[in-house]
Amino acid sequence: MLLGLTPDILVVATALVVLVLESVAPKPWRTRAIVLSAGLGCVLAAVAMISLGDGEGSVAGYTLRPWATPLRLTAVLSVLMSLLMIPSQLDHDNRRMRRLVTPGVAVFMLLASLAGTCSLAGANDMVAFIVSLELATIPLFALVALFQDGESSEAGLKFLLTGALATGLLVFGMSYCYGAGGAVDFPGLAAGLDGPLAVTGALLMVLAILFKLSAAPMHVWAPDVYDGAPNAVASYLASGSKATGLIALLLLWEGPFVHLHEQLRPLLITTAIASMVIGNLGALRQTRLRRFMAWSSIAQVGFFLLAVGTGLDGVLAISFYAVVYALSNGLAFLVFDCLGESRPPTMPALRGLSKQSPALALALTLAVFSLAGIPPLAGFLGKFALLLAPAREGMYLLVLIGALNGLVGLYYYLRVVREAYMVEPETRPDDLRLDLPQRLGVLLCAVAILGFGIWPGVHNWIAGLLGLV
Amino acid sequence: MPASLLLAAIALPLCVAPALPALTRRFGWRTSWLAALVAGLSAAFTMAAGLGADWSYQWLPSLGPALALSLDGFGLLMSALIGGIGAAILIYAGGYSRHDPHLGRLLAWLVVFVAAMQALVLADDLLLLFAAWEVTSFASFMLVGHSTHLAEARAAARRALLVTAGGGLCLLGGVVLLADAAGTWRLSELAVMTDHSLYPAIAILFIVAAATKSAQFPFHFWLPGAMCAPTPVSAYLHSATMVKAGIVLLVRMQPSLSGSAWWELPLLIAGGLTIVVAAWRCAVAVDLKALLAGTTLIALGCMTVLAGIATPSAMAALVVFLLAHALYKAAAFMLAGAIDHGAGTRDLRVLAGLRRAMPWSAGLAGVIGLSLLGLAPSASFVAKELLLAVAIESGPLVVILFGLAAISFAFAAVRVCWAPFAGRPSSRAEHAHEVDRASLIAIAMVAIPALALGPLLAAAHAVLEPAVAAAGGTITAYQLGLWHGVSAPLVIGLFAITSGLIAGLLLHRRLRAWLRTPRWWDAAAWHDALWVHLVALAKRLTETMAAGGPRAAAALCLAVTALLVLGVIVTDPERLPLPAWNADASPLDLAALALTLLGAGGCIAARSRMAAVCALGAVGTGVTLIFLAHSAPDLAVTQFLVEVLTVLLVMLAFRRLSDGISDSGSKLIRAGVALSIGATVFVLVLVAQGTQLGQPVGAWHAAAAIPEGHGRNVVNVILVDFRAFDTLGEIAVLAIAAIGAGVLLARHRKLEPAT
Repeated sequence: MLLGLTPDILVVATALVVLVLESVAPKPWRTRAIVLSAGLGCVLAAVAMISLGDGEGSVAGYTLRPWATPLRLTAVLSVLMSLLMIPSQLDHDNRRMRRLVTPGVAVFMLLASLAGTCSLAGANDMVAFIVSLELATIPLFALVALFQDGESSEAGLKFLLTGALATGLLVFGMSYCYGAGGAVDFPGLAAGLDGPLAVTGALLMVLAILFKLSAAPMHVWAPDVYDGAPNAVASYLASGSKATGLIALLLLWEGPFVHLHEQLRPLLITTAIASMVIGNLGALRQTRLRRFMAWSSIAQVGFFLLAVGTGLDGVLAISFYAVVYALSNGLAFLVFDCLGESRPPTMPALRGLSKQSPALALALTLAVFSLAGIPPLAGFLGKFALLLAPAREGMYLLVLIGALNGLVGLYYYLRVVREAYMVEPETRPDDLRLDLPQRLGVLLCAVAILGFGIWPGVHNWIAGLLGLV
Repeated sequence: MPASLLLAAIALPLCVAPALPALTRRFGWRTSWLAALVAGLSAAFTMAAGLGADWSYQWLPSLGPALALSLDGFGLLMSALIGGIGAAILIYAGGYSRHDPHLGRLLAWLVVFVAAMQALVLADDLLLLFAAWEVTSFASFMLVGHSTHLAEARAAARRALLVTAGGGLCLLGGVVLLADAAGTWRLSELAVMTDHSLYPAIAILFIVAAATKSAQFPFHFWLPGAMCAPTPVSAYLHSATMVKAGIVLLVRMQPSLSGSAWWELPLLIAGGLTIVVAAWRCAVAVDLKALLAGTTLIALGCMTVLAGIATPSAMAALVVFLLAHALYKAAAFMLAGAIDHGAGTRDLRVLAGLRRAMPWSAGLAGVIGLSLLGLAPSASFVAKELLLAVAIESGPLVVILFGLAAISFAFAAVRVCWAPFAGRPSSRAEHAHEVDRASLIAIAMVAIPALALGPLLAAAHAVLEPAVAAAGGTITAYQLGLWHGVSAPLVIGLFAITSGLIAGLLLHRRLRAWLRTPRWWDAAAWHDALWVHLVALAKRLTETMAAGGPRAAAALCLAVTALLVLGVIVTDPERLPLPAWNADASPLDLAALALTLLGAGGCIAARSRMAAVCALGAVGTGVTLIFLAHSAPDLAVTQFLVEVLTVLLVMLAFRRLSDGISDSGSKLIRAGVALSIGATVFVLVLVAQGTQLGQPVGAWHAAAAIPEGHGRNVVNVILVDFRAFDTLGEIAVLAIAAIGAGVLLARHRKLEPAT
């Protein structure tokens, strides 16, 4: 039975190995050793998740849930993508970085957050739930402030303050749930939660998770924080951290809040629509790349939320799109990262990319087209499944609103492609030097984005985990 | 084997396309012959597969859609057109764009487009149909934007994409609804849907999708803009094939969706208005390609009207017209490109007298002109006869519309195929030269069949009949003949041709002056304005939010929280547990209350940040007093420590900021948010007071501490025994927080020693 915990144990062990390497590895190849061992650990954890992900049962108060496997895998994927970006932040002559924190600590923090996400999926009572969620969140505060310039520190402080507010709401709501349900374990709460007091508590908890997801109206921190954070961290915030929020939301939804669906559904639908609209409007005008990705990720969360509460179809859609989103989003950030820090991270920095490096330009195009949901890329299949789930419940208007927002999304994702291909740069950009892991990462992601849209294996694997086939 | 040929028809071009840029770098323009071969083979594969072939693969068993292809008569006709015209145009592209450094890219996207179009016409699955539809939009975007150095081309490409992709999203909506309503994703299994409650929505969504793709009013504006594309692209995508995708969709959906006003009326109105608007555009056009684009709009309008009429004879006329139009219009566009190349301009006002410099082109222009005029023996003559016959059945309005269409075609025939070659050679014509042989071959490859097919149609009835039948029409060999005696369609047709000739030869300058287009009439400008305003709105919103800073952000979050919580409580007050009112208050309670109020007041009145933080500390102390008064000394100690720490930490964080509090923003809003949060918390506390816990978990823990945990300190037992794993987790979180804080602070110190 303990076998089911292998992925989690691997993640924690890797984190500890990284911490040890930080102090014992010789300086010339310290960064490389740390990133490599962390990457290896993550790959092993991913393999363990894939091979053991269908296990059910309970180990030491830790519940194995097959449906959470794809979302945990999303977080692992997201960490792997971030690992690809960390060396470039350290090695290159960095405009923003006078001296970054030692790489070991940064990687350790990332893995600690991942461990929190993994254990969150196993939580079966409120205490384990909040401890895991905090474990997943607190390292991110430090990670956002990794650079030691004003922007990064400001972003860190903003993130910390809003995060504290969210945690406050979460615990406050939790106490009301305890009051109304008279239990702290999920099955007990599921049986006991009913009535306005329970709805109030649940509402506060959901609002706190919306912070984590950066869904409207709790999205306000995202643009500033993404913009100030390093690429590696912003990328993780955009996908890995969202996977955490989705696990938390689905966990509560199918567990303690099982009798509150009717009351909470309107909130989620409103949030979904508001996130899509606000995120899209925000992204329309942005020129700073990370800020742009932040706004677009707010819109993407809206799509995820469309499918929450539509049964197993919805969970399938969310899980599949989470994986695809981690790949597409990570690839976009990876390309931004490959541009280097010699130019400010704005849209004009992409000009001339198609001449500098046609492969990178193509990869970026695939990434943003996948985010926009263009067939035959994986993003299309994901968005399609997300829209189909509410449609099967008869919520057709929601489908139309989602589709309309997809069009606005297309408008601004096209801007990225336009800058990369069509607008001539004012000065001739320098040649880009990519190292082997970066090349490999870009190639694998691009192939996966194309492949997962045509080859249905991943989708059908998740459907199998959920018992839908 | 035959079935998998269908798959090969799509897969072959898709696999060859990525290699084309590299091959072009190696072999130059000759690669276009290979590309043409691929397009031709793709059509050959479907023909070899034979009618009735189908192939499917269970793609997403949990959602329903499959990869399913099947071949009916209509699909076969379209597939042959796509492959055949595609081959001609790819050859033409090799000649036309010989010196284009990006020829490889052009060929690759054209071949991708062939694959997508084949998938579109062969698809037997709604989702596959949609996917192919979107790919054609994107291939079109890439091809229209091919000349990336032209700002106009970029704008046109984006406009075309936004309109067609927007329509694509409507199609997605329609497809999802239709699959849900019909219970199947297979096109071949769709039942008649007219009685379903979702039918109106489905019909409208499909019609909007078709209208955007086939450039029907009010979405007609993107097509003339797309004429910035290289001519092979215009000839293939924007006349012969892609714009026909909308018509293909209407034909495919006709069995299950037609038969009600929801389907017929919008199609008749959109098609009719398109004919009128496009006829106007034709009359005032000065650009060769713009004029041809106008006639394409008219042709598509006629097909839409026919799909709206939806009788068997109308569907038959649609299929025959589609075939004829695809052939001669592709040829006409290639001719326009040849004139552009040979004479260096497309301006109809200066083109004249090219016949000496471009004799072969002039000859081909004559062939094309006959088709465009709709004169016997061309295939378009047969199509026009059928069209007018349907119009006479359907009423005078349709006769007028189709008559107007015929007049416009004749007008265009004169302006495109006669005027540039006739008359005295202009200064342009002196420097003109004949175009390359590949281009001429390519033009001949479609122009001659367009003319020669006319007499053969009747003989080819057996071939055409399945296509017409698959589209829901019926046709006899007699109808496909050239001569039916002196009939009403013949008379109307001759009248229209005469009018068109007169207009084209004598009146064209005056028409341009009379029909000056008013500025507001430009739908493209409306479309652009829509996006400009949306972007401006977005800018205003984000700027407002950014100007408010973190304070506005916090206010928004808190206000929403208060609103939601109060909403829940107010809507269901009866079930709320409220406590019994207790008026006893000890002096300590009163003191705590006074301190809290004082602190809150001080916080509001404070003029500096530090003072405000200190005042907040006083509020916390008041809470500590309440704990003390109600015999919870441990809580009081914890609360006090936390309060002191928080005040210190916030002061630390604020010490770098200027001390004054800015007074920007509305005080009223801030007061409102603060009061609503206060009210919310007040109500929440009240409710919590009245709640009776069923079974506090504490009781069980207290009872089980000694027998199960062997410890007398219940809190310790809970921490290290009952909930040991959670404590371990908590310690881990604390340790990580400490490491993070330590790293950040240590770094900070290193930075600062200078000061």
